[in-house]
Amino acid sequence: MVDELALYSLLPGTDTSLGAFGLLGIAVGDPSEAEVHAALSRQLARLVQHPQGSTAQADEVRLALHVAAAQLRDPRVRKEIVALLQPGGDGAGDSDAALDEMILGLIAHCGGWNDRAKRLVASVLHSYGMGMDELSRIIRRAGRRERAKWDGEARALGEAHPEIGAPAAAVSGRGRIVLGALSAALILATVVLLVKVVTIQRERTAQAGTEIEQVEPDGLGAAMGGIVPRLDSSDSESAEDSVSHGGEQLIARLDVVLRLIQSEPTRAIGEFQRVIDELARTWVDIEREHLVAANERVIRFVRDCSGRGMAGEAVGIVLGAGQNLYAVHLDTIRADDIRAGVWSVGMAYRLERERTIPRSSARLIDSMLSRAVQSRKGEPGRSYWAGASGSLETLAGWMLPGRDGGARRVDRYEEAWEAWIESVRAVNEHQPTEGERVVLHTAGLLLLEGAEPSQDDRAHSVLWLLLDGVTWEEDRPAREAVVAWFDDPGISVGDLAEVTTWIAGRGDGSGVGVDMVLSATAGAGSRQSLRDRYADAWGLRTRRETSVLENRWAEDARRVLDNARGRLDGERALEYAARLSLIAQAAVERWGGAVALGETTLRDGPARVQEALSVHRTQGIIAVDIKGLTMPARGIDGEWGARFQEARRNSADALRSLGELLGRREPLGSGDADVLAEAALFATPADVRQLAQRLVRERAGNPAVVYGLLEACDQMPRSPEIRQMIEEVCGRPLPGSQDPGFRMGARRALVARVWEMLAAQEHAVIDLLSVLLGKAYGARGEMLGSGVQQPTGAGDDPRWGAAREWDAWRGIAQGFEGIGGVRARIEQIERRRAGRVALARGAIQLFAAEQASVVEIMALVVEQENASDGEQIGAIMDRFAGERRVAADVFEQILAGERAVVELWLIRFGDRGVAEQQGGGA
Amino acid sequence: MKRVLLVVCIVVAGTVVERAPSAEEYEGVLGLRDRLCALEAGDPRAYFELGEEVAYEMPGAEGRALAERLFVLALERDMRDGGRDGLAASACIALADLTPRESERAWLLALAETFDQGEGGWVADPGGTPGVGEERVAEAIGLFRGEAFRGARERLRREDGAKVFASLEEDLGELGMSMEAMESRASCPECRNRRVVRPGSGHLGGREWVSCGRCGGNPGARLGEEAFVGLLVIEAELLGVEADTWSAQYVADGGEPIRDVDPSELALWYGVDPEASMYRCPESDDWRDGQWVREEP
Repeated sequence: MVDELALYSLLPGTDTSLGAFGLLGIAVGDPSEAEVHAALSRQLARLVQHPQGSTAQADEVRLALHVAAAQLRDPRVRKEIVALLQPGGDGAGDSDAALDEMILGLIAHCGGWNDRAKRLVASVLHSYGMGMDELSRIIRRAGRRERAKWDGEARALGEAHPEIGAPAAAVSGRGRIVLGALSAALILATVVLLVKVVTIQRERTAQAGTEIEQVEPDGLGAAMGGIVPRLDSSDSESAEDSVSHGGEQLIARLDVVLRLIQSEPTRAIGEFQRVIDELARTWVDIEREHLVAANERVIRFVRDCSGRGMAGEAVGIVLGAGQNLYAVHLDTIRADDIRAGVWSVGMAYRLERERTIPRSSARLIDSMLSRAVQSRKGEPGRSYWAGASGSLETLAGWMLPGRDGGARRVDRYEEAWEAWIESVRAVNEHQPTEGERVVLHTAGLLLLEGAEPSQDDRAHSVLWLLLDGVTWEEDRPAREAVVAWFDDPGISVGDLAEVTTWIAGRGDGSGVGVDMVLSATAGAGSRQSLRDRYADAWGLRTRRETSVLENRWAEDARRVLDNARGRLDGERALEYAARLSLIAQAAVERWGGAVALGETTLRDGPARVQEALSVHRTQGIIAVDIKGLTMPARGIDGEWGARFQEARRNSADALRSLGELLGRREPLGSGDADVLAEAALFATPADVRQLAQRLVRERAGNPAVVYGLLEACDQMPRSPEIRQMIEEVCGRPLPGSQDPGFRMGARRALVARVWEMLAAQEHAVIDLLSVLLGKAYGARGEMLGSGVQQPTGAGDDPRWGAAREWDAWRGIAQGFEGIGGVRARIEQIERRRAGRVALARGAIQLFAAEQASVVEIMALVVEQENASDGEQIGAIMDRFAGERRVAADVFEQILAGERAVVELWLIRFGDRGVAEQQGGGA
Repeated sequence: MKRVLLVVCIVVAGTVVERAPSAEEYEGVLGLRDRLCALEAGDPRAYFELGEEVAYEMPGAEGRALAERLFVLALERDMRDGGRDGLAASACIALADLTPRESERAWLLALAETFDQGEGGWVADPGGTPGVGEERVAEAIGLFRGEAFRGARERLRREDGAKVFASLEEDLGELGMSMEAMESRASCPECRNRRVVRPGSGHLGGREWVSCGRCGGNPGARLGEEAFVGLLVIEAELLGVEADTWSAQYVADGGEPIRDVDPSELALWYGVDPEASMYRCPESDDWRDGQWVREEP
């Protein structure tokens, strides 16, 4: 019986006094089949849109609606209902009689007490707010009326035929006995028939929308020897529908279980297990409304078990249905487990919001969901469908060929995917676009991360299964997804070739011609062109939407290229090279889909370059007067040294003298620095020497101190402590202190360090800009997929950054080696690279050598991707070579390289305007 | 008597004064003119082999220039034939042998690396590590800077150091480091590089030691900034030190541009027109009277 309050809440305006008509919201009368269907659809749609449309009460209302529709579809029932609703209808007796007659008529109409009769009777009784126990009363009443009728007829017969009447009267004694026996026999026969039917029904164990309740049998019930079926809700449309029949049976069984838990909990748990096993396996075949109802009963059962301390068992049964699929150490995914696993996860998702389950169960649920639903992040309104959908996504990730690193194998691959697709379709019935979203997401994942469909049979068959699993009609997400795949640089042309082959082969008249298949070796231009054709054919945007980042990137690139025109050399050339390098980094990030990162690089680039330009001194290095290093000491320089020389014969005095320097902040002059360095190398005893070494370390940023060590290098003692000090001061490893090459090694390290320190005094900007270049190249190389690991301590060394980017482009170029002549060209570039590196002298030339090779290999890749732009690319390379040839210094050569890189990126992005402007010979 | 003297003079003159050789004997390559005339663009090997002979037999400037041209043309012709004769790398190596400039040699050897040499390809010499001589001179530079002239002289006088010093004498001399400058004294004449001296009788304060009045406690060669850095850079080169920072490298080489290893630059560098590969024979016997011309279409 539907809760009327819930009914009014869910379907406001319902007039229950009009029975089925009121439930469906149609006028009392003689509606056609179509009118009934339309009314039912309308009311069901109202429920879907209601915020509480997924609750158990809503399910009850849905069932009541279906019952009402069934009633009105049947002409006889409809007539009776109308009769009942007519004004002046009789009281209870008449209504009882009418009802009884209707019920019995129904039974006769259905050809006896069968499933259909049971459903119809149940629906009628339900609409009258009665249960199936009423049926026994109806039969008793019917028996009385029959007897009364027979008696009446017999009397009438006797009266009409006194001779019979006499016999009737004459036999009244014996005749009554006979007649009574006959009546009893008839009733008994009816009862036997009823019992037989009930027995059959019990064996089938299912009624649509019913509970099977064990009620205390009354006399008739006892005579019936067992369970009297009590129906308190009715089914959906067709009794012959095996799908609804399965769902109905499961619901009925769950109702039994819900009753059993009150009296026989152990038995209830056992039955619950059996029901769950079946429900989990067959949920995809059950009609949505029945599934919803069944699932809600599962929840109710768990709640009821909570009151009996058995919730853990119940939850365990629900989760257990999916244990084969979501075990921690799962290594094989089996097709048979997929449906049950998805159902189990969906239920776990729903159960997670139950407050009555014990903590241990909550932990189990959480553990399962952590494995099974990777995208759950506290979204509101967790439902079974959301959980099922999430688990399907996770499963797909495990099953896709080429993903998951082989951690799990898939048994009966095609069957597994078919089971997956079935589950997705079931989800899609509930939320029409959700299932499609899952399929499209999975297809995208396969294209991005899975095995190549063009090379892997399984990937190919999965892709086609997925493409077939979505709707390709207008305004459905599949079309937009395909266009987005074209725009995604992570999806290869080979993948798109497979996709477009499938789409073009459908021939569904959606505007996609058979010629709209992308070649597996197409370049970026062809890809873009076909993308636009698809967008045109499907009425989507035809111009690739240019993001804010793309617009800004192109603008910045053009502006800096313009500013960097003409001859620039020295630090100015390096400044523009750094700017362009950061613009190229933003291009790489944009190409790789790291839009936010690219925006940051683009935004912060100018400031980073400006910061480098504004620094006049390298951090940590004190500026010294180079002339002063070999000139006589002036001012106070040398005074401390003289005091120390005097004090050094007494260790306490020497320590005191050194201690003066501890508190002294001003840098030492070259005279005092030499004395300190000598003390660090030669002073005795050890504590004096060690204090001096400590002071040297603290003042290692003073070139005069480091030079002091170099001056004394000739006689440097061979000791581990001195070796360690020199290593720390110079930042370079030395040979062992007992190695014959120790002193020469120390000299080399000190010469290098003094050289660097003095150079940094004048040209700190060059170092800082070189660091920017090194960072940019390193980031570019990494983003493009370099496998080169930077050596420890390499930091932002531009050489290593350039080597990483070279490695990355080389890897990309490898993909084109199958094209005629490309391999030979790559080999030629590699040989030139080897030659350049062999020729390079010093850090800057080494970088310039690597950079030139990067430009060459990148140009080859861009040319292969954009065959129609060969001439433009040739012009860029000619200009690059020409600029390098006439460059006044290596920085001008580096700038030429960065110009070429940015121009090539413009072509790669399809922006040919600037490339054309910049075109022309050197 | 006069006649005898005249005869003796004539005989002596005849044995002393060299007879002017013929053109062919002067060349050192037999039939050079004719061989030049016989060169064909389609046979780069002929260019190469003639170049080798010229380089060997005519070591002077003229011969070197001719050999260079022949090697360049051999390379150009071979490249146009798609490297059929595999002469490109060999031509680069041959040119490297001819050049007196180390940087040019390095470039040519790097260029040779860029050609596909197939099996048994030539591998560039990575260059040697600093020897004892270089180390001696590096030490000497350090000692010179610190006004320890005696120690510097001693190192430069040792055989291995002297040899290297000789090759750098001019460069070092421009920076103030010369044997003459180091001959004048051993070290700071006042403190002998001890930095401190006993105070004179007029010194107050009772100190036992005071800073040297001449060097102020910092004995040194009194180098200007340019000289100091210049010596430091030479010392670094001698020791095979490579700067890690760009600023240091810039100080050392002023940002010297790197030459590209582009074969197309070879002809440009040597001033050879690669199209003018035909030798137009002169009417005279002297090969120098011929001209290099372009092939007629």
